[in-house]
Amino acid sequence: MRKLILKSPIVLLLMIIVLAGYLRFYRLEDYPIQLNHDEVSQLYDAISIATTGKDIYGNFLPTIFESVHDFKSPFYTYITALFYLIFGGGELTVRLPGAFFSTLIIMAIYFFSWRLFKNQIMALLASLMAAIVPFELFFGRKSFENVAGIFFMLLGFTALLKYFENKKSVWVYLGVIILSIAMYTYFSHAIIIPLLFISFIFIFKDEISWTDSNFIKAIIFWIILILPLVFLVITNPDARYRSETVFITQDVNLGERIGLTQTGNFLLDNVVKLKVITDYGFNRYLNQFDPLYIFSFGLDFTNQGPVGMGPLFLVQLPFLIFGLIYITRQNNIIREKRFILTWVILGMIPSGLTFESFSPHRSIMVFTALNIISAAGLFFVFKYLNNLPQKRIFYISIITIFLLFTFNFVYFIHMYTVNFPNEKFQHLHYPFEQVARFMWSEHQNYDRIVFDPLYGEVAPVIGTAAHYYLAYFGNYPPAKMQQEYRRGEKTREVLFDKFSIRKIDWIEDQNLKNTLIVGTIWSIPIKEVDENKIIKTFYYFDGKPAFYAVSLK
Amino acid sequence: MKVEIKILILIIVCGFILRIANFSFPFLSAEEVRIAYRSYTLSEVGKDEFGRDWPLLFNSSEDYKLPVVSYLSALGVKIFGKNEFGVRIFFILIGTGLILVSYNLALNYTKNIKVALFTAVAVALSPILVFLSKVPNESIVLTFLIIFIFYFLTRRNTTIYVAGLLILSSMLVSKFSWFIMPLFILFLVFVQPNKFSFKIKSLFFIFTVMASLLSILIFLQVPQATRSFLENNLTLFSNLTIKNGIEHLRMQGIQSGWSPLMERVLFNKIEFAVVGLLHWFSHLSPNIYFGQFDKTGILNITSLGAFSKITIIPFLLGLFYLFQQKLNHKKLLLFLIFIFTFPASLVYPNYSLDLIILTIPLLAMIVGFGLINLRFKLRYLIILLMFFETAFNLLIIKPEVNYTNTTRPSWIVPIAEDVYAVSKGIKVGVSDNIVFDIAPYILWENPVSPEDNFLKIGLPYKYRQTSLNKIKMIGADNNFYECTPDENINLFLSQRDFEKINRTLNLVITKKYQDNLGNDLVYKIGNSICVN
Repeated sequence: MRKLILKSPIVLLLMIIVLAGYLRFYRLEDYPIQLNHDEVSQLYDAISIATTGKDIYGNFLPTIFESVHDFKSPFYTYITALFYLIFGGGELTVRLPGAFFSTLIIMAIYFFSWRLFKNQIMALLASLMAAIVPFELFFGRKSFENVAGIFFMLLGFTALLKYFENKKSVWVYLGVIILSIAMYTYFSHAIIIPLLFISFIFIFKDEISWTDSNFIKAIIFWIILILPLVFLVITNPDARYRSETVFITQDVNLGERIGLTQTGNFLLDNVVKLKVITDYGFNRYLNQFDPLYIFSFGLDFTNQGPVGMGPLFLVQLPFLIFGLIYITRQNNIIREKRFILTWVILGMIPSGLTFESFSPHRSIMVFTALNIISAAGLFFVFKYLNNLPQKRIFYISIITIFLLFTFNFVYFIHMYTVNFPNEKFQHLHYPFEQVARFMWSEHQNYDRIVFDPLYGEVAPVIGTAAHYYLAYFGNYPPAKMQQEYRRGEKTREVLFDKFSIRKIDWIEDQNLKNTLIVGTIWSIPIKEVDENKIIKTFYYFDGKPAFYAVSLK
Repeated sequence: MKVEIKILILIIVCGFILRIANFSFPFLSAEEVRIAYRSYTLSEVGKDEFGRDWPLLFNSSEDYKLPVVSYLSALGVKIFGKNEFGVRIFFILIGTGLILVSYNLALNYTKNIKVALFTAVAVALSPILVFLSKVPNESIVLTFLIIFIFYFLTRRNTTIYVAGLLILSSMLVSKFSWFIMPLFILFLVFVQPNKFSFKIKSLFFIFTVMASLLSILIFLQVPQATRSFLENNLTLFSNLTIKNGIEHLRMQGIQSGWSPLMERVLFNKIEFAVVGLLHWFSHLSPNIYFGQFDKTGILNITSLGAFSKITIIPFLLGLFYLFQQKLNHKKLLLFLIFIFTFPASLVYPNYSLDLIILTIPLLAMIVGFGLINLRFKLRYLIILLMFFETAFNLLIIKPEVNYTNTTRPSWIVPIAEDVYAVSKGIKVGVSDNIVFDIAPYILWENPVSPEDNFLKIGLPYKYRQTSLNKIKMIGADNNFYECTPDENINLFLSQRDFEKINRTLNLVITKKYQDNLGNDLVYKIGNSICVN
């Protein structure tokens, strides 16, 4: 087996990539069950950029996309625009870049792990793990720029490690260029990659000669490459707004705690306030390493407490522990092991500093590293078993491990295809697509169409991106959207074409003429409405009624 | 005197000062003040607050309590009188003694004086060990005993009978001891290297198992013992979230066309074991040790973990140092951490934070390994920062007093005093939601006679007092009316009851009481409103 692997690692890698590709592209349009608000806004903005050079708000080639006032980083929208030019405007288009980079990441993980651990079998195991683990599949199948960012990070650091081996300048330049691209993909990468790069230089300082002009020039080149990004982050108010709105100080509980720190002494109050924020952030940061989160509910697939799905398989837990022990005991990779552990420590910072208790999408780079470490653990176990005199134990153990992984994988598939849509359809804005399509089918029959995106089975939430859903599923020309889009005078009102997306005030709105009103029980007292006026009911994924279309003639 | 001994004395003195600094902080919680009052009745008349003679099992609002903590506290009150000093002093001494025992254990275990000294430093500066040394509680006593047993059984000259006595003592401290001790002793005598013969080892292990079983069997004679186990120590199995989750997810699969057999394979009772396992490991998360240990402020300062934040650096270094070692007794230390916390796998969703406290001296040893692997200056800088963070939180207590406004209500004292003073003359009604349990505060803060307040109840489970001589607790279901001329009662109303009657009846507020945050919390109402 070992001979086979060493003989043809690339063939095996290709097989793993094919497997990864299959798992990422198979029925990509069906799962997740509907484009979520991020996907639909990125897709429509991408179409808008590709056809007009502007986003829907009329900004020419923006460096940050206002989207639904969440100010998205531009990488994914532009790459989707590229895919749009090749594949057209189907729903699949927005998911293709994510799945594409998520498949390519297998290769990046292979080369990165190989450079890092100097062991091809371990590298193959790491890429095999990456091909099947929950977080890679989950984030690979939804349009998400972070995956692309990590792909570039892995490649960039691989190139730098390669440079230390052969000192060919091409690798160091390639490394810094790729790392710069990675920084442009996702906001948190703009902070984490420089930190990681500085740590990398510090850890590998013995490999770097400060008279090595190539390295110095490459660093200067890197600084030049990232200057526009630094300028953007510092000067662009939208970027600052984005950072402020997701920063930990937006956490309500932290706000309450700060409010309780008043001692009456100005100086002391400020010291204590700083301390409270530090304490809170540090605690949140460390909380991200909770095993229950990583192995049980981290992907937030269900509403069933601990019965859910973590970013990593449960079966990886022992291998992760073995992997940590194994790599710390390897004396030939001292710098490399320091680097991978630094990767884990720094990578969790974005999750620790944001207002959400857990944000797995900001921790993908850590999960990637943990995955690689668990592959090292798997290798360690294989090696140990292989050295046992009784081969029977080896084979039984291998079969057991295989079966455990298979069981975990089937469990994930069940969770992803059955439980996740049933439990979390609301996160995907289900059934906004049907609602949007229906409103367009009735477009000619009414003078005005009012849509209130306030929805929810248990409690009401305002569904964002309703205008994107309407525009995209109505094939509304982006150029026209740029002209038509405007804010109205009523509560939450956005207007374009015949559409008014806003809060329904039923007492007033029920008197409107030749109007189609679509809303949920949170905005329309449906029991009081004449049944004949309800021309269509839309259902949540679990079959319960969601939206009602009320015809006012 | 050797330099090491001088340093050790310095560490112990420093630890002691931290434990007595700001002596009245933290203010006693309802549970702790109940122990305080009980210690007073025990020391005065040899009876607990219910009037039972020298009991071995006490009541609390959450679970039954074993005797050692109450009697220790009673000893302090007997010697130093009915005051905070008497209640807290023995726990301060035990907490300080833990520094010495941890030092000895580390020295004996690692044969490295530096590791031992750094272990002592980590124990002395651990915020939670400082905090728990200041209030009557089981955790600090059990930790002390367990570390002492560990030290005793791994040192060269050991008297097995003394070790047996220590084990028996631990059985009277906390229920957790009944679960942990057999595995702990099994590990100590059979896995750790020692000088005992196989026969002695076996006998000692059997003795521990018998002691645990006997404790459980005796406890099961108590009427609500099974309920106590199920509600406090085995909650995983009665957890409806997991049970319903399994059924819910399975049903979704069947509705989607997956075979019922496959659904049973994927979602079954193994989920309980998985959740239990991960919940157990979750207890060992770094945020609990270095982030926030207890957000309620009952077991620790709310903003701190078991150690200062900076301690995570030497801890990680120590951990990797141990990983790098070949399998030896040092590395086996890591297994003990899992042994001490394994009962947490049976409790979900609550965290059994008391179990984590037992592991802190072991983690301190790992921190010790880490500190010796640091450069000189960095090492002492880290120790300085450890000291600074703990000391800062013990000295600047205003924020913490505010955070624990409800769990450690220092503002209750004037209310408790006024309630008692009024009740000497007329009837008093007190809203039962002013604090979790106001009765022990009234009893502890005033010169009451124990005999006057005995309740003569057997062994009530999760008991909360609803009346006290002329004082009646007002619940949410009580109604108010205007008093007739022959009725004479004063009311101390919480916001809930005040708002309830303020709309319909004319209230004459004679006094307002505020909490630590400056909010009006309790209203004293004169002789106008009565309660049924």
